[in-house]
Amino acid sequence: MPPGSVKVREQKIVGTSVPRADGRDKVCGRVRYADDLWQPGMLFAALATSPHAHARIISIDTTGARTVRGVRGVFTGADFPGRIGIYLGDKTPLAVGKVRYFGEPVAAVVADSEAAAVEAAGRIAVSYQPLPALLSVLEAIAEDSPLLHENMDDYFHIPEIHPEPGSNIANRTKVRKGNVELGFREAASVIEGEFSFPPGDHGAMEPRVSIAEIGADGRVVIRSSTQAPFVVRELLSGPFGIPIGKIKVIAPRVGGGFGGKDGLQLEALAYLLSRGVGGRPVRVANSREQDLVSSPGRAGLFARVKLGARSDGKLTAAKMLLLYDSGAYADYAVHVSRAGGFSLPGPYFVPNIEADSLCVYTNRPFATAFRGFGHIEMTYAVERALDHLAQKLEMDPRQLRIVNAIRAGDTTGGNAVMDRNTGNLPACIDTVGRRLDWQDGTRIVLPNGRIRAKGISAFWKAPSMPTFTDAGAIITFNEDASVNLSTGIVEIGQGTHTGLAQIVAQRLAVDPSMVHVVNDIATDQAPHDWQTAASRSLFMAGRAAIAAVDDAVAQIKQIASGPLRCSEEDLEVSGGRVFQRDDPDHGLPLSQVVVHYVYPNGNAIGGPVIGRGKYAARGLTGIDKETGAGRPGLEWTMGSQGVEVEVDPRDGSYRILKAVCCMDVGKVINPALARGQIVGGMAMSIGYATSEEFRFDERGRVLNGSLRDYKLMRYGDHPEYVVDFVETPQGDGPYGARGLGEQGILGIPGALSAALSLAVGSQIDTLPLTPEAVWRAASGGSLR
Amino acid sequence: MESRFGRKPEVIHFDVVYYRPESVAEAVAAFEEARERGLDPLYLAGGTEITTFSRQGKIRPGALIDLKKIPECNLLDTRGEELVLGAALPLNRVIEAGVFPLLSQTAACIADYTTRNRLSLGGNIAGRLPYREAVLPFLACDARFVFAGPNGTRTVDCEEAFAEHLRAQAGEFLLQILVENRYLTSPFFHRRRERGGRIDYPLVTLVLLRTGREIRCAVSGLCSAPRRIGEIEALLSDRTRPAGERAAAAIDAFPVAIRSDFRASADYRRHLFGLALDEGLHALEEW
Repeated sequence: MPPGSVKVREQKIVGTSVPRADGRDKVCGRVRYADDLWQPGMLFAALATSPHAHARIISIDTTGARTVRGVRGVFTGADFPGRIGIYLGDKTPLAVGKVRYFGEPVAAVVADSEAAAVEAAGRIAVSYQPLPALLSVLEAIAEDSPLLHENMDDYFHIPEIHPEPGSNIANRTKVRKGNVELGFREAASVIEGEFSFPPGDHGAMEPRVSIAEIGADGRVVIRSSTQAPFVVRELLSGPFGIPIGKIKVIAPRVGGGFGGKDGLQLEALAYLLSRGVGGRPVRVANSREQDLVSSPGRAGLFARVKLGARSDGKLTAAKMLLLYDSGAYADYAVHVSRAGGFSLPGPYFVPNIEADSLCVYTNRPFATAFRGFGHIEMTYAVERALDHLAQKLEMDPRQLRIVNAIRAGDTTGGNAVMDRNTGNLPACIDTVGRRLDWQDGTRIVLPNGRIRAKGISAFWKAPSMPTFTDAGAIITFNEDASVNLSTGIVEIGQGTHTGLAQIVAQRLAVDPSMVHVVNDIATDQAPHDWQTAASRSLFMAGRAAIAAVDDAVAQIKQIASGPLRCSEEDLEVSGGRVFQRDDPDHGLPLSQVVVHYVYPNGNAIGGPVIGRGKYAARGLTGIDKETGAGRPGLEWTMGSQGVEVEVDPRDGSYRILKAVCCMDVGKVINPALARGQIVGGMAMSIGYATSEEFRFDERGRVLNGSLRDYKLMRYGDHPEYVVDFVETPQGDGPYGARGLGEQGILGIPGALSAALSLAVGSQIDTLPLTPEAVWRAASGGSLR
Repeated sequence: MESRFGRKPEVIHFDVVYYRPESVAEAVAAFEEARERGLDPLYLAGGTEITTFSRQGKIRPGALIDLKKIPECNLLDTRGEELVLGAALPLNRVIEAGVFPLLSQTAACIADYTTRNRLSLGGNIAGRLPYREAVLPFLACDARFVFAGPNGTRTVDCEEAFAEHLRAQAGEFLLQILVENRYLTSPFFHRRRERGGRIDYPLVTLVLLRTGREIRCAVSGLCSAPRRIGEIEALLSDRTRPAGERAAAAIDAFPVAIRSDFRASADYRRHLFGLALDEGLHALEEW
């Protein structure tokens, strides 16, 4: 039985759409962004950035900048030569020696006002010697390619990733299972395809901002728009020799991130600049344009996939090469490519696999974590290849996916056995098919010449995180027996705080209004937590919260057993009371117990009840360097998505009529919030698939580095969204729940490519799916 | 402006002298004064482009002369045989007045509703972006442009007033645009195509206007600047040939380079233009 369900009471809290606790304040604009946390005496930073994608820095003249009134300091790469990072330390906060992408920060000014800082930054004169820009991952992995990081050997990295010094490969993750040659020999049909798309950005609501200050005692306080307050602390402590307990990171409950605020972002530069001006508070705030180009976005992809299948559609072998275009720096993205590798071949059982997933340097803006964490790329390649295969086999693409769907007892690409917690993927695929009226035909020509077409995909994702990932929870009580829940989870729009409150309310059997979640996270107050990423927050902090409630309940029983004159074992806590199980009238309101109990004569016992809960990921291992064997995934959330489009083949324009998702989430904690997360993921994915991309000139300069030109989806562009759930309980999840924050983004690009390909009669294997791309495919089509 | 948390947002990072004249004479004098002070002044109405370009460092005006309080710039009225449109009118006012349907339809595709509350008719036409779609109806109906400047006002035929960009002389600003009433009800066709979502710059905006037997054509997005395509109008107007044939011939005879950029290739723009032209010529047959 899943944790938490041991004593489910009659009133259902888990499984109902409790309104978001932070909803009203956010809608009314009452919540402070990190950028609102201006400090007395604060100074302002501005950056000078590179106009070249690749160039040697000959000289930097800062004299002009220093003459601007109000300037307190001008800094260049020479001032902060140390490399920092989370997984592969390949980047200095300001460029040293070379710039490797358009928009790379080369110098920083700190001044009394933003205006003075910007003015001075504009007067920094940098002399560059331009170098040829490496803009393609295929060129970058060629034997004779120039090296973007000559000294990769010197870079520190975690043991789980495998850089290849002397090349532009920052990580190679291998998957070897069975014997692919035998597998392809068994196949009745074999297809090969190449699939790709350019890099892009997160487009989070608040551009990154960090405010750092250093006290007279050396205590460092960072206020930052971050998903990862504890990681920030850790990554500042080591390189800069600050005792970790002397760093405090404060993360407000708003701003969005989508992975772009994982790890370390502007915090290191803010700290260094504060140190450079005697510890005064320094604010480093990206403009939207800097946030798009200078700070990291998401990787691009080139993939080559070969699949073999028997005539009944059963896959026999897969050979794959995934090249993640990480741009100029790979740091976080090395792990993205690793996750894409270990999740191959997607939610399907394939007995023979040979795959390499590479993180490749180019002179494009660099990549970091992005919602889906390598899986959206991997999924696109696999799903496109499956559609090619379905075409060749003349098989229903829905049926092909059902036939190959991974089931309990099957093995993953890394040869880990799927346990009894495995979700029901065939049921998800079947539901999506029904929601799209698949049986009525997948391609219909309308009288006006337009074509309606449908596409389907499947996906999976487990958290991609260290094997030792942890979460903690503390609950304390107020005089009215209401509860304060403190965790390290940052609420950046995903709704986890409300889900956690529901879990606590259910476990303690009180109304959710009696649970208050501590909203703004500070590392010296919240219990330790890895970071708010990887769709693991509700799962892991939920487990910790259940443990914290149980701990508090034990304390409550112990205190109450005195005045109630019975053993703790006979007591029950529910509905705001502690009472004797076989005589519920014999009991006490919690308000008389949780702070202290006072006897009629004035004697007191107890003291504040403090519930402690903790959780660490269970049974995870690394993966073998040569074969990828291992169990890196805590819980695999899988599902299916589909779309119906209406295409005008004359010009390639189209509308998405309907986007459908069915996901096996184990247990829905809050239906409205779960739907919101999935619809949000699908919307983001439609933007990803149809429009969002960086465009470059031949020298690697970004042509569309502002929201005038980098087009995010708009409110009026949305299709009808249909979301269904399957609930196959996750035995170790809170109330059986699995993570679902990222998965909604994964399957749309593949499904949409499939639908448009079917409509125009030609396979479209690249993103974004602009009307022009569809028109070109329609003009040269061959499929029909 | 104070934000709710008591700080001053800095959108433009340099000092600007702001004038708000209430008459044409005051505006011209303010410009002159600012120019003499070496302030490199700009006239401003909606200010959206000036603000965003200043923030990005693309322009650096030392003074801004706001025309919004000048009554003549806000006129929307018929005088005799002409419609008079003040250059500072917000696009939404022009659109919602509905007196010039072609202009309403064209302007309603620019930006989004909230932004159009700010965007001005004159600002859209005088801007530096390559699209400036609000000028298309005026190009098609031979509107006349009224400039105000140090030497008083002058009224100029649109051909002379707008060639690739607005031909204001030093110290001048666009005061009004005059459209003959007979054009307000002329049959027209408007088609706009974007790369993806509707709220984006156009790959092609086509305006066709039929006056008598003559079909006039103006485009935006297709070339480096909005323009009337007079060179193909005789072809388009030749009703001895079927509409589809005329459209094809017009594309072959298209006189200027078609734009290719990160939004779309020239091929695709040409294709969309051809489709729109074909559709438009058919529509104008049936009007």
